[in-house]
Amino acid sequence: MRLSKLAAVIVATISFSGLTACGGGSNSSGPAPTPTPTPTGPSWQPGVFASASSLEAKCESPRTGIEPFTGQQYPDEAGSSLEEKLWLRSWTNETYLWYDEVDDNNPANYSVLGYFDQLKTTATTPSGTPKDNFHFYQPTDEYNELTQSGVASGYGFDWEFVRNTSPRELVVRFAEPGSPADLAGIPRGASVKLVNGIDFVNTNSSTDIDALNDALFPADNGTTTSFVFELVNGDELAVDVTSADVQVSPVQHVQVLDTPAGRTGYFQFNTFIRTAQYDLIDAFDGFIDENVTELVIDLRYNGGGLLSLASQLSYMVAGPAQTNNAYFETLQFNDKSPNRDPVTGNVIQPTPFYSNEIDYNAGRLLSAVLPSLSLTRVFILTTGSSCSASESVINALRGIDVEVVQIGSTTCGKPYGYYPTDNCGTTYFSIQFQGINYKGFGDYADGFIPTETPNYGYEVPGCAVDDDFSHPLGDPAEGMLSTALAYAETGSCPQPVNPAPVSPDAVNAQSSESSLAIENPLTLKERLILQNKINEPIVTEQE
Amino acid sequence: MQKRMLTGLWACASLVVASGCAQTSDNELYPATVNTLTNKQKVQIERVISDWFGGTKVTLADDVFKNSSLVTIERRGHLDSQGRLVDGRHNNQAYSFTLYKKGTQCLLSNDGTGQKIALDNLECVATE
Repeated sequence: MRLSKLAAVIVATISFSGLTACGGGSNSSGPAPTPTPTPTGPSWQPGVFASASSLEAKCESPRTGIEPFTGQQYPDEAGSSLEEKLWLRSWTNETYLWYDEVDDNNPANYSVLGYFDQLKTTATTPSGTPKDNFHFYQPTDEYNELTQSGVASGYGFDWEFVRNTSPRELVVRFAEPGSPADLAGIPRGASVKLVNGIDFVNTNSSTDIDALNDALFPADNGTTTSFVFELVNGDELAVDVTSADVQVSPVQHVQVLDTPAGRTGYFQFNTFIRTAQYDLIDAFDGFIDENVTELVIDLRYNGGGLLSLASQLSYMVAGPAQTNNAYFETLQFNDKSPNRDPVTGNVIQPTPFYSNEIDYNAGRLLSAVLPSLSLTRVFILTTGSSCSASESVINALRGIDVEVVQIGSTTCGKPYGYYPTDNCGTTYFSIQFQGINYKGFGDYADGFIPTETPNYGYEVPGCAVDDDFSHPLGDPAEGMLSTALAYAETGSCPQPVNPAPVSPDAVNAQSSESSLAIENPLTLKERLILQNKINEPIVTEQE
Repeated sequence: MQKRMLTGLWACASLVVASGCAQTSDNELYPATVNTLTNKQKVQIERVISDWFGGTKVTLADDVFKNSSLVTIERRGHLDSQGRLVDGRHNNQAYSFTLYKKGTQCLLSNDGTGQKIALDNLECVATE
């Protein structure tokens, strides 16, 4: 479609040239030819960039009607795929954090989405992983989908994808309180063996995998699936579970432990959503009442969310004295925008440590001051699923010299963010800024790494410990929590610190390229997993 | 509590202006909840909100409005191909909606616009 349009333009141009040539020879003997307008659309010239604003909303397939969120007419005008690509190119050049590391390739050789896919740096981090692992797009109508705050569709499992190839291993991290999975009594560490009678572990049948995807990640609520699990003690548990749209509990297992190090608060915090604010306040109020002197925040499954809530949590840890005159985080854009946010045009203002409650519905600060423990040390439990806003808590606290002791494994490494931007019906996510703490540090693209001998800014004092599925979360005997408690008492990591993995050869066996592999995880809340490409991902992968 | 009352009175006042309804107790708006909610009723609420957003897909909890007259919705968190939240650091806007009882009717209010729509076949109970 795009090619044929382009071809039509080329044909028209050639025809016009031909006519002109002929006409030139007959100027004196015949009527002047009717002028045919020369195509004047934008074109690609290496190193020359029109402003993105001059190219936006010029679409090969313009939308019509009312834009749901603005109530205004769609801004789309008739354009071409070339104009969409040139907009992407100019927008990248203006706002992408590493715009000067992007090759200026001829858009003619790409589809629109293919062109976007290569509009990123190919540089790698010190560990050798791609510096930009977060380049992304999705249809705008999908991006705009709305959900009740904190509602998840499914059975209420939070899964750990231990191994995605046969023999597969899918383990329950926890069941959301009150969810169908919880009500069915399925405990942490339960490993899936059969799903509707299908051998989850070993099947290599495409038909089976399709059925597994449908069963594990149902499109609708009310879907009943029969599971057989193997529990940590070796027993089998057979249960039927019916899917639902359930409200998640972002803050769980709030408790105060009496330890040799003193009164120690603990809570599991799974996601930075607005409904968590008052749960966090209640937790900290309780810690204050209980005279807590040490705190363990379990962020091992927290992939991030609201940055303002991360700021509030950090304040509740650090308190007014340590946060006074400091900020939680500021944003660093590319060198074309040292002082102004290139997207909003506003002067860059750091995110403060929010010390007040926030009315998240109205988007304003309230007068009520948050409780705070004013701690000078905090233990944070992490895994590779601890991401974005979770990492910003670690970075922000370290930025004001609160001692963060990291227990667990390396975090995901995402100090970056973006303004998701629609053009012609696709929403693009291209990294535009990096979060920087009060000390000016934000270089943790390889994640925060717990180590007993930190040498770099991204290495955090603490202990490397595997997730321990043999104990419930919040159990003082659970591997990561017990390590934190031991460290609090002795100031060093207990030896040995690593509990046995879920199965001897399972951990880190996830990266197979096999077509029968299960793809990593959390995605599961929305799509499946059992690869063989089972379900179409809700979030479209880059082409 | 006081804030809720004020909200209710304000909402009633808005409705009075809009529809000219008499200010009797039957025409006052009270924040409300539901004791039971079928999937069909939930889908109806989702559809009303979806229509306010031009047909955008909306998902509510199965127990929406059972424990609170207020519900907040926001953009769904999407995950990338590696299972990470695509937008793990954001300050996205939220949209709130309140269920009111007015006489025998249950009204769903779009708190952002003040629009109200009667929900058919739904029974609700004033919370105050």
